Amino acid sequence: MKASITRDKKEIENSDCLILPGVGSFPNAINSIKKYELYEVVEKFVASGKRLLGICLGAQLLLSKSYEFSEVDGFGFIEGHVELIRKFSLLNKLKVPHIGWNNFELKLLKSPTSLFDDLVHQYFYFVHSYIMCPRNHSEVIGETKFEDVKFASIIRKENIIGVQFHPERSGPSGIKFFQNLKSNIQSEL
Amino acid sequence: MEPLIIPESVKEISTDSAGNYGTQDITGTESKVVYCKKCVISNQRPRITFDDEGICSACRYAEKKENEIDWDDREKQLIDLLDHYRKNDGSYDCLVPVSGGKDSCFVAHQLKFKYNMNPLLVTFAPLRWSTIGWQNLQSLIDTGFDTEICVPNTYAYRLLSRLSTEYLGDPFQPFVYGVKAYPIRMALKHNISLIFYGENGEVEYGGDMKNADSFMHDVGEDLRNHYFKGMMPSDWEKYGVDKKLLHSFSLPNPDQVQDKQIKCSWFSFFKKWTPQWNFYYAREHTGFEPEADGRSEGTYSKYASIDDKLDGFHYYLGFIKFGIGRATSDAAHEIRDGHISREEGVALVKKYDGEFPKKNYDLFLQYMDMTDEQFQSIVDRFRPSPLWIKNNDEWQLKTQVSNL
Amino acid sequence: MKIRLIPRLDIKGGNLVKGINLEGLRIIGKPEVFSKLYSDLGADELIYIDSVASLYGRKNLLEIVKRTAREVFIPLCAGGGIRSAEDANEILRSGADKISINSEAVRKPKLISELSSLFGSSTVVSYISAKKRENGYEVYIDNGRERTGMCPIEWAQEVESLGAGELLIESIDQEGTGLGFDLELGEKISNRTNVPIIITGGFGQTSHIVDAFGKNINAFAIGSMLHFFHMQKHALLNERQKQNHYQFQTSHFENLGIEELKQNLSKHGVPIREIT
Repeated sequence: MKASITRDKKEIENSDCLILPGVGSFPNAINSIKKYELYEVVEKFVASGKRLLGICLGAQLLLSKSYEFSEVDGFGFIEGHVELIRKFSLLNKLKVPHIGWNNFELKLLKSPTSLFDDLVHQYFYFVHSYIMCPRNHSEVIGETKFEDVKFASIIRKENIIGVQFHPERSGPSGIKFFQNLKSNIQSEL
Repeated sequence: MEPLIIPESVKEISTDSAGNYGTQDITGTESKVVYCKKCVISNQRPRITFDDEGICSACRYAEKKENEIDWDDREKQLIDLLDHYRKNDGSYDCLVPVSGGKDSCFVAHQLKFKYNMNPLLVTFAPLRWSTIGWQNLQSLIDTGFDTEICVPNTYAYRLLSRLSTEYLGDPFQPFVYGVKAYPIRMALKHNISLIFYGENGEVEYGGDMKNADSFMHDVGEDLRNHYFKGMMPSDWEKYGVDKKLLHSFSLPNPDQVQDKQIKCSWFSFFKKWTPQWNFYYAREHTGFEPEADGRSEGTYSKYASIDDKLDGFHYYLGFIKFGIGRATSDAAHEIRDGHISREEGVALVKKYDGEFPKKNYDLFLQYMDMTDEQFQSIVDRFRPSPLWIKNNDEWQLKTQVSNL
Repeated sequence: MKIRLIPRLDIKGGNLVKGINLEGLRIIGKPEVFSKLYSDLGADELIYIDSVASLYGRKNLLEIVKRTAREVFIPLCAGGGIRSAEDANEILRSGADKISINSEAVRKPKLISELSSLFGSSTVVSYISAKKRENGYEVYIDNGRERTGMCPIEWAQEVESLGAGELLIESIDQEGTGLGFDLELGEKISNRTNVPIIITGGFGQTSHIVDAFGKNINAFAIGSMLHFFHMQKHALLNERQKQNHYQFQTSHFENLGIEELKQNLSKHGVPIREIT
């Protein structure tokens, strides 16, 4: 299975799976996507039913809007918004960003997927100050606890998956995640 | 500080007559400035030689240290030597001249604690002791050593260093006299036949290679032949400096030394001399600490030669006379020891070499009882024209070290 | 939240080096080799600091970051001589996840805001080196060679307000000695800031981290002890090092590799990510 980094519309259209990575800020990311005329390309890709994986900021972009720096619209594939994690903590001083290794509680009953096979108790690397707040609870399939805040770390709607953590930086757990993803995609072909 | 009174008779020395005693080593003399292809030193360093491949004698010696010398065998030789001199009757069996710097800490500590000798440490005071210098010496002594310290009277020290600055372009001359003479006087006083120096500087850093293969050296010979930039302490007497003032700096009678068979040796013959290792050792075993304020002016190092507040001026004048500053010396041996690359050495020299030591300039001027103008004119007097060129009112070295 | 253990690699001219009090640097080996080992053995992240980049460029650092990123899949922070957004971009494009800035941030504080708005706060680590002086602590730059007259606690607060997402706090006095972290410095800064803090400088024994637990410190960057242990255990010593008459190890180091350290910490109840 070949992977590539691209901005080419044709290449994106022809892929079996699209990954939206992300480090940086929400407004900058959306603006870049629009600047390179990829906004519609992504929408079309999702509409085709092929799998879209958003990572960290890439996952946050899937939601309706974000309040980072200013109110900015995202793709809106999943209803909800993106908000600063500290707003949800009652602690005097929550150290933000949330940086480090953490795990999640899977809720796969209504939304089974083999993506997390053998990864139930594993740790993944998180580095973010903002969290995803999907409107529909059924679209949250993984929750993570950071100090006194419980937040959505994995969201899913049909062919769209968003993970707040960085599987590409999560050592062996991350590698297993990508192996699962690969099997997943291949089985659907 | 009090004004420095200079005897009338001394004021009559013109630079010419001081020059008659031999201007050897006073300034860079080679007509073409060449830099070693392996390290960053130039051929202007007195007594250094370069071979046909453009590599300096110190680098060649470093290669030998790395590839040819059998250090296990040298260790055996050291043990034999020490077994011969060791005394178990409570008296001192060797003498170690120390400054409290990393190298002397290493030598002293090893001799006492590893090789079970009973050394007497001997220190000749720098012109103006720095806080960290005194602290490091104290820490060394705290480890458990008897130490003799000589502090010459300040007037004498000031006068002689002022005169050597003016006439020889180096404030360090009296310090060098003391460092050479005092250990020998103490060896005579305490009946010690073995003086252990740290490194043979000529061999390690580029100079006269004549003692490269010997570990024992007769002190008497040394005294007879040793001229410091062409002037012995007693020569100053001829110029009207009172004999009383020269006492702490005077070398003992060579015949006295001959009778007692006082020998001197270098630790660097027996141990692969690596100043950076000495730093680690001293840090670990004698509480040595680098300068808290950061690097010394004119270099990147924080731990080399930090005991004298005024030593920056010795290095600065060295830079003027030879185009070789402190950073060059520090980088050169670190390159030879394999700790930095030549590329890094070149970058360090370009960044720090020749930096004016302004931190203690006021103290220096007071000590020398000079004005800034007087000092600057001395600097210009010793600036050799082959090395320097004036560019837009600023002096620059005509040739600088660069990447190959 | 799990405590993070981060091996810290000081790089010079393509080599892993280590010293004491930021002075004197011994060549230990190839950084990529050590990094791969640490990653496999359970390190949580890696930090690369290039100590000559500001002198004459970071070509070497970029090469090492590229090589590392190809084989290591845990977060990597790299720094050394970063003076502009272009410099930071180069390092990130080579495969680093975070960049650290030290000396240039002091000379040009605006750089922090510029980098954090371009790359995100969590990408920018502010590296602060401090030494204890007569009346408190002082920030030093240029590899501990120059004083700045600034207080590290105030400086830490300022860099946070400028957008740094994480702090790397180093004690120059403790660095390389194995005598323990300067927990007082770490705690003081942690209590006055709201971003995660990594402390570094002085680690030698398990107890040094156990003692830090509860002081609000999120991560520990460890150099000397780990390198020396793994260098010997995994026969990474080269010929020249073997020949040296002088022992590397100081008497203050508990003889531990990263696995053993994590196991010890677990036993002491310190929350740590374990490799299964």
